[in-house]
Formats: sequence, structure tokens, C-alpha cells
Amino acid sequence: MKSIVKILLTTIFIMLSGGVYAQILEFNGFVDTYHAMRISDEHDFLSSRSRLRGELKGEKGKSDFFSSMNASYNNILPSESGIELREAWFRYTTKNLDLKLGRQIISWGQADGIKITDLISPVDMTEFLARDYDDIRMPVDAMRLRYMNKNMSAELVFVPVFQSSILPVQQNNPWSFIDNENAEVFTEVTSPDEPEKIIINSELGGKVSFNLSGIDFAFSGLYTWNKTPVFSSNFSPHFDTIYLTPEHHRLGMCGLEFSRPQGKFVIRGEGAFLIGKRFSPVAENYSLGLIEKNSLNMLIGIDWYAGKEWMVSVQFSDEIILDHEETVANNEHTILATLSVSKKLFRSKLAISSFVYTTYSPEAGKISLFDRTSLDYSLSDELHLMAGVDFFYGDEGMFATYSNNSEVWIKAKYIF
Amino acid sequence: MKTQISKLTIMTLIVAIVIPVTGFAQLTGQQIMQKADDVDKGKSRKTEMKMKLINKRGAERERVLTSKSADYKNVTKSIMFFNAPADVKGTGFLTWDNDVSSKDDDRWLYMPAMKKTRRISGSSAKKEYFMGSDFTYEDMGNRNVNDDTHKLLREEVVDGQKCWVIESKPKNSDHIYSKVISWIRQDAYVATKVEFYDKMGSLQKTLIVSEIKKVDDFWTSHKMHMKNHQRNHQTIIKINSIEYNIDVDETTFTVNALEKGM
Repeated sequence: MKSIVKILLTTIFIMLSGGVYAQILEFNGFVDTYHAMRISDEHDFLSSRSRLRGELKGEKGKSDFFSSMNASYNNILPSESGIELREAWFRYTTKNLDLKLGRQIISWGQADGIKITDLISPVDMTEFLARDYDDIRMPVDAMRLRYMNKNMSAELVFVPVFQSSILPVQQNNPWSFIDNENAEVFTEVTSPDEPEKIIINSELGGKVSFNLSGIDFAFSGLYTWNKTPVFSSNFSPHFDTIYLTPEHHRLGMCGLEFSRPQGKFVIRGEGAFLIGKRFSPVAENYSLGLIEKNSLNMLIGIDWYAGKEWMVSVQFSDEIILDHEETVANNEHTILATLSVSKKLFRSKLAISSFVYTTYSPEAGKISLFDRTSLDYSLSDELHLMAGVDFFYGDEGMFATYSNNSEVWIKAKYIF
Repeated sequence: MKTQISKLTIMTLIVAIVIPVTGFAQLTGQQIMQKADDVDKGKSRKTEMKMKLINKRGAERERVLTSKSADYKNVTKSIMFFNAPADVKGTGFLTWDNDVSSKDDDRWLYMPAMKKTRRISGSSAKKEYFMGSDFTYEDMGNRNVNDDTHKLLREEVVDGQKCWVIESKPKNSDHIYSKVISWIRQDAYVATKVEFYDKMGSLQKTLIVSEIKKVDDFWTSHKMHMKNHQRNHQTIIKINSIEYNIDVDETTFTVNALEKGM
């Protein structure tokens, strides 16, 4: 991975300084600062970070490049402070082909905030979902070759080196899903079981997309890994400590997606057949290790362009574990739904939005939810002031873990 | 309803003409609007423009856009990007305007922060105001001449130019205006002034089109000034540059091109 980035940086350096001057060169970026405080009694800060993003892009003839870097200061998680290369890619384009090489974000699928076929770029869940989704999605070092004509495109993606999603496991992270303070059994996360960085562990994917009048649809296939680890568990001899080992295994995916406008509505759908997905066993069967099953993950969504800059969007997804057994810790159905409502006011200077995720467990009849409601005021074309509330609720389910993490937040962003 | 001015798509904003002006007296409102609709705008065009938004206190905001468009059988395809300001830079729209009025347009929006393109509604978006301006998407896009009934009211001289004054009323009630009155220059079949009336019949907006001159033998409107009388807000669109019959391939008007940028 590092070697690819070095190659890219060298290429860019050569383009800039080696006499091959880019015909068009642009430098942009932003500075933002974000601070979130827990609503409940402690009123402690759950996030406090500032960032400078610099973006450089250049173009010469049929070639262009883009690179972006973050210089961050995190007051809650010092390990997150520092300088990070986010994207760095080089692209060569002809009339019908383009080749993009380097660290890039690859986004597949039609869903918003839910990953169905969008399995190439891993996610950074350091602050769970309490970030903008474009900050959650991580770039990958990849080669992307595309053929396109006026109505279709076919792409081939090659990811040579595995890259894991980031989960909040650090004890000092308020978003850690491990709580040892009130636990009878101490939890410890051991070193992840990650694939070796060898060519046989690379990932390969392909997608064919059609953009036609009245409908978009695509078919995709991917031979990848579960980027978000599944945990296997072991106990200490005295059963006072549980050791969780993040594991990554091979995963196959066959996907399809579509998007169709219908008057004021746009109907979106996405489905993935996941081959060889691993699931944790129920606690009493921990010694079985991870259980391999196939699953079907489907989503349907409707966007309503209601007029006067109102937009309402709903999504419903269900992941069904095929041939489900009682030894699998996950329910046979994992139901996730979202509701998004947004409205722009004062000639788009003020945007109000609310995005709600909710899970439903048919077996237990319980729900959990996460709602991010925010205001975004454009003080000028460069300076945006934002404020919001993140609300978590539930007794069981994905968001119940964070029921004590409801927060209010403010953010300022200066774009240059 | 948007009259001929509607014909001025955000990327065209142009009208061309080399039509012999004979037999005016025999023309009906419908025929005049049809001729204006049929005016030659070239097979394709590239436009760079600046859009200035002025609020009731006089505060100004600017948007800079680049667009390309081309005509194909029964469809006009266009792609447009924001170059400024910083907070919308890189945002792109791809539109396939279908000539058949019963068929919705196809529209896609590219959001650079998300690196993602999404399909948006082709019908409802038309009635929305475009990026905070006083132009709706439909004001800047095509409206089929046959969607309205057109009546020639009179002839007038505006800024030394003889004009027909045409009243256009929508045939269906779902249009955002009750009527539009257009002043069409007789020498060029170009709208030089347009009044938009709301559902209650009150004057809502006035568009003044000026600096109309020929570029590459095509009549081109270089300045459009829309005043919203009810909101006390104005938008001025200035064409910085325009090229006609550019060398453009149909792959320019695809989702892949939208994601690549211009």
C-alpha cells in the first residue's frame, strides 16, 4: 500500500517539477472544527476535533491527478491527530476508456448510508455513524479500469492489498462498543486476524452499468473480504476475561441495483447475494468459532421530491441469513430502515435535515434508532455554520449500545 | 410556462435567427412562438456564465458555471458544472431534455463530497428554483410550445426594436404560472422581455434580456436580468463566453462524464 502511494506521489511530483507541467493546476480545501457534548448528566465531550484538508489536482492532455491530505487535531483521541494522505490517484482517459490508479474512493450502489453492494471502500467507524458519511467512507489503493459508451459502462476493479474497516475499540474512545467499567467479565480485543499482504489475497470486482432514459441499472460481482471484522471469542481459564479476535475472511458478492424516476419520485433498489459470510456464534457456543453462511441483503428506497426544496427519502433493508441455525448469534433477519427529511430555506442559505436509522428485531419485537438532525447555515459562500443533535435510543439492536451517547454538536467549515 | 425564454436553456441561453421576416401580419401567437422555438441554436454549444444573486438588502452572491449541450433525435443533452463558489464547486448536473412533452426528462446530480451520482426527479425538479436564483429549472430549460396556448396581444417597440407581445397560458393547471407575457423581437425571434404571473394572476417576476448580438451567426442573449417582485430578489446571468457547433461526443453527456468533471 505504502509503495503504491509512493509511486503516485512520485508521479505527481514528476508532473509538477520534472518539466511535465500540468496545464491546469488547482489547490482547494477546507478547514473545519467539530465539537460534540453528551446530553446526559456527564455533559462530557464525545468529540472535539479540527482539520485542515488540502486538495491538489492537475490536468494535462488526457491525464489528470488528484491528491488530498488531512492535518487533524483530535482533543479526545490523540492517536487520531496527525497528517494523513487521504486520496492520491492518477487517471488516463481516452474517448471510451479510463484508467484510474492509486488511493481512491470507490462508491457502488444506490443506497444512502447503508452498504449493500458498496463493499470495496471500507468504513471508519471511529465515531460510529456520528460523522458525515463522506468522512466515514475510506479510500482504497486500487486500479480501476472503465470502458464506457453513451448508455453503458463496464468497470474492473483490482485492490491489491487488503484494508480493514476501523472500529471503535479503544478504551479511551467514548464511541467504543466495549464497556469494561460495569462489566462482570472483562473484554479484551486481541490482534486482528488480517490477510497477509500478498497478491493471492488481492480483491477483484466488476460492474456493468446502464444509464438509460427512464431507468438506471447495474450488475456487479466482487471477490473480496469482510472489511468489517467479525469477532470470534475465547475465555480466560477463570472465565473472567473474554478475548475478542477480529477476523477477516473471503467473501463473494453478486449484486444488482436500479434507480427509476416516476413523476415526483425516484425508486431505488439494490440487492446482494453474499457467499461465505462469517457470523459469530451465540455465547454458549463460542468454541464453535465463526459460522459460515450465505446471506441475501436487499434494499428498496423511495425519494420524494416534494417541491419547494423539500425532500423525503425512505429506505428499507433486510439481510436474510440463508439456512439459519440457532447457533448463529445474529437473527435470521436483520431489518434496517432509514428516513431522511430535508428542507432548504432562504434561497438555500439554510438547510435543515434529519436522517433516522432504525433497526427492528422481529424475534424480540424491539427497535433501536439513531437520529441525526442538523442545521446548516451558509454565512457566506465559503463559511458554513452547523449545529445538530444526535439521538440514540433502544434496548436491543445496533444503536442501543450508544443509548448513553446522545449528543449536541456544533461545526464550522471554511472552504477555500 | 416559460416561453421562448424557456428555450434559453442554462447552457444555451441563446437564440439564433436568420429567418426572413416577411408576412408578419399573418402570423398567429402560436406560429410566432413555434418559430422562436424552432430557431437554430446550432447542433451543440459550450457556455461559461456568471450568475449574480442580489437580495433585498443589496447583498450579492455569485455562481460561475460551465456547460455543454447538444441536440440529438428527440432529446437535448446537457452537462453543467459549478466552478464557484467554493461550497458548490464541482457539483454537476446531467440532463436529457426529452422533446416529447409526455415523457419526463432524465436528470442526475453529482455530489463531489460524496463522490456519488444520484438520479433525481425529472418532473418536480423543473419547478424548483435553481441554486438559490430567481430562475426555476423550467425557466432555464425547455417547455414544449404545445403545452401552452399562445395569443398575439399587440405589437410594441422596445428599446428601438419592433416586438410582438404574446400571452401564453398553460393548458394544464399544474404549471407554477397562470400566464406568461413575452415580448418577441421581430428581427430575431428572441424574447427581450418576459413577465411571469403567479397562480393568483399577480405579476411575480420580470425578465429583461439584453446585449443580444450575433456570435458565429447565431443571435445570442448575453445578459438576463430576472426580478422577483414578490420576494424583492434579483438574479443576473451574464454569458462570459459561448461557442457553437463544438466538437462534442455523446459520451460527454453520461454519468461517467459527470463523475469525471469538465
